[in-house]
Amino acid sequence: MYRINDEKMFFDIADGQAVVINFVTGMYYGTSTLGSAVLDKLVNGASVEKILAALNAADGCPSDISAKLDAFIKALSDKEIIVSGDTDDQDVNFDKAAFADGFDMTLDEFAEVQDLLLADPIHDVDVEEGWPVKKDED
Amino acid sequence: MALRDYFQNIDERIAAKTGKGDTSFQIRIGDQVIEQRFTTEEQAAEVKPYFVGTILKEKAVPDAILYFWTDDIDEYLLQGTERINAVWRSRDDTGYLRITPGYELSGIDYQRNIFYYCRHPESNPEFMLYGHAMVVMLGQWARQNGMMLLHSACVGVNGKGIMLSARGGGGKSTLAVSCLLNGFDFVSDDYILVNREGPLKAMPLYRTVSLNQDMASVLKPDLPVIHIDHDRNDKLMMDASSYEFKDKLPVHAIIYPSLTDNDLPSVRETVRGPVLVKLIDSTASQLGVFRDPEAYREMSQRLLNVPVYEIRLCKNLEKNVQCLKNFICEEI
Repeated sequence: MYRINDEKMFFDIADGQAVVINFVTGMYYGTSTLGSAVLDKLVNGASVEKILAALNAADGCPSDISAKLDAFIKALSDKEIIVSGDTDDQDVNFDKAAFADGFDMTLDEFAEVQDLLLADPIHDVDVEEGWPVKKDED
Repeated sequence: MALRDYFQNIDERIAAKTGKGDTSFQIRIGDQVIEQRFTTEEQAAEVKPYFVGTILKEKAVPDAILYFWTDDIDEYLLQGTERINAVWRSRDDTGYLRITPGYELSGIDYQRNIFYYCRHPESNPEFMLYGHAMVVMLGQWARQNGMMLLHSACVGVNGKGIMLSARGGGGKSTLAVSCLLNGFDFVSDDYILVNREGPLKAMPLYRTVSLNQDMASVLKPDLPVIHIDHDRNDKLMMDASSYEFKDKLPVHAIIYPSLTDNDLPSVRETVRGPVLVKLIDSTASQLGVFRDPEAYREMSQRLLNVPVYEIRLCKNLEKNVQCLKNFICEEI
């Protein structure tokens, strides 16, 4: 049903953690542990129904898992990380490690410039004195 | 205040901190002369061996200057305490500045081609001198001078080169050093410079190679040991300047080495995404630009059309080297 959008995305999963790089924009995406496992299944052709069934079969699965899965897939689609693709008939099973951080499936978009609190030390310099005199030193 | 003026103030501060003696040396990378300046003779002497084979004997007019020093980073901050954990970045026509309070400062004076790297005194001095700082600064220098620094090995045969790219422990260095010892064209086992425009070509940054103790005992390279890196499982850094390092070796492919239990090695085309993510992510981490979209985009676009293969290594180093040689000669 889905595949990685390889017109725009590099995708890797290592040590259970997915990393996606949009090579057009340079944006970097990471997912939660379960999100990584689900993304891996999705782009390898697993159907959403079978993924949901496997999630429901897991111990402690919350009742809103279907909504969580839908929201996660929507987030992946909105960011154009995944696009429609072929589905195979594979069975889906998740390792216990996939649930190590619970049942949240999140997609995080990292842009260093956006994430960090930016300030411009140059413009905090005392106009008359210049660096290294701080404004509050006069 | 323009960044140019800010940096001139930094120059004065560094000058006041600089001790007597031989606190600088010059290296040649490609056709560029880079002067590395420190505030103590001891720091310069410690770093100098890493640039064996590139150090100029006669002083020349430098194309670029790299300053390394240690100081209280907070002295360079001009902010209220509420911002203490932020990373500050600033850029104008004259320069670029990035300050991580309590950790490091890096900056570039574009007009004078001067690069600054200051570490907080409580940080690990070995980390500053032997790895991160040099790579961060040389990465910035490369970027300003039409090149790109990548965390990758590069070897070749008969003028045809390939990049070997994997995360640490993936067999990259061992395979690359094996290639060096077996007469391949050799650029690097760790970091390379590539041109930003035109057909991809690789240049060396250092004339050293690194091996872990186990592989050194297997390969037995007859190379002087410069440094034992206790922070990286006693990895040996060795002087390989007695070998020829290829300059501007055309790169035709990226090869990802994977360790297997197979009896014979093999090379096959592979999906580029995972290989390029590893290469780009690893480079970004080394260069201090982790998750910086601009850096990721630049690297991605540069490597996008390079064919990607996987070499499935067996336990026999000679077979691995021969397999790679055959592939380069016959398939690319």
